[in-house]
Amino acid sequence: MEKENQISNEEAAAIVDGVFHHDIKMGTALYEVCLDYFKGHFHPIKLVNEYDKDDIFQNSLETLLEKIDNRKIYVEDGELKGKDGKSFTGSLTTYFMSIAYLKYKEFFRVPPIGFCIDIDSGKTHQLLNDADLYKEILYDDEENVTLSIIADCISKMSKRCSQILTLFYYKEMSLDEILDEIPSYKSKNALKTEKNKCMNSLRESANAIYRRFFI
Amino acid sequence: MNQDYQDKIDQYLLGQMNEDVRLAFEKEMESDSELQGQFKFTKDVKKVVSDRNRRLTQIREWEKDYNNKKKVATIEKYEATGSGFEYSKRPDSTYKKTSRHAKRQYIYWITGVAAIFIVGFFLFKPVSFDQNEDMSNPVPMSQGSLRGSEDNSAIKKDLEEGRYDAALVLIEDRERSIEEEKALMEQNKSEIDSDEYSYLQEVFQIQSDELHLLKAYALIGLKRINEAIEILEELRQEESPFKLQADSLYNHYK
Repeated sequence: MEKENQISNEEAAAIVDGVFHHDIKMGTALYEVCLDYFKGHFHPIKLVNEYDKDDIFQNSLETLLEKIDNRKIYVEDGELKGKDGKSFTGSLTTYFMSIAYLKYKEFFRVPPIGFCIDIDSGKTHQLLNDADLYKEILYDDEENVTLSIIADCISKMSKRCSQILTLFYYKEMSLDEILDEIPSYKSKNALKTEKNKCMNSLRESANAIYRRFFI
Repeated sequence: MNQDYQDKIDQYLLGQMNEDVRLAFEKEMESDSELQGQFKFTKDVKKVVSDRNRRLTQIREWEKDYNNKKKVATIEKYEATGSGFEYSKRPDSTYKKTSRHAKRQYIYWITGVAAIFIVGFFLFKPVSFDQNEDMSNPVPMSQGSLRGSEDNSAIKKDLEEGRYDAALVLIEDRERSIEEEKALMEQNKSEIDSDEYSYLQEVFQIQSDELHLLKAYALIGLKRINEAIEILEELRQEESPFKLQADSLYNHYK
């Protein structure tokens, strides 16, 4: 199982470059490569149902795509590069699984245990502690770490909060239009209260993460 | 978080303020650090939500493309090659094209209709006003009256588009129709010519076999592999136009 379904850094560079330039074929290739690797290497300690596995996969891939979009992973002179312009030492799929591992931990509120899983061998041993992993992988936007933290918190939000914020801030629907979409809310005020609760909760989570890792 | 601030911030970010109100709000923000903090947070949330949804839409397009490629590859892979082989490169025809099978079906129908006309010519007596005429010979069953003469294109379309549940419902419905027609044929057996009876039996058998194969595809699509294997095991033992296809699928999934 070691190194199975890994891709070479040359292949990864071609895919990342294609994805950055919105090439659909390269996007599908990224999807396929990450999915194959995820299926072969996602061995969580707690049992995870298929629906949650799919959620973890989708969220992890979205995070990887965010890093490609924001040039935290990019290609220069045909070479795959990461933080601080350094060449990628590991493989893209291993990096992807590191994201998935952190998402899984957050998903199931697995407390920090002082060690992490070596993705390639499947063994657990001390590599980086969790704080370093989070700062290295999830909250690594030095220019605007708040955005990274908020992005991570939004990926963990309840489906209802995610839906309300998407309809309000992405689709820019009015509260009346959102009421039609989510008829379980009986009034505009009830919906507005719920939306503000979601925003409050999001802000508290983001502040907690910032205090935990950066202060 | 201040709810009054939030309303104004949302109006500002969504472009719902007129020029004067917007300028007054910007001036208010300059001297209110709490408002500034809440504004920056909401602006970040709006950006993240928008970017995230855009990326998730992109991922869904990749997923769709990936699933389509996988489905076509799976369907194309399992062209019958015979027992003992998993699969081989398919020849010119694909699952979507039914040229070879359709031609054979077409010949069957043409032969059948011709046979009925020939048989009917000898059996059928014209209507006569002669009261002594024996009217006991019935008009033989015309093939066109069989509901089983419909093709399975709706089922195949559902399978191609991944609607396996819907395909299964249609298949089971068609199977029931064929059973009813077979029962009707058995009821009228004494009134049907033996050649026509044998021919109709063969037609029903071919229709049933095709439905069984389509059912196996639907079950595979629904990940009910064991049930599919049971059907394929039976189908590959029979001498039918679908034997080799069933054999190939069976060998792969077994």
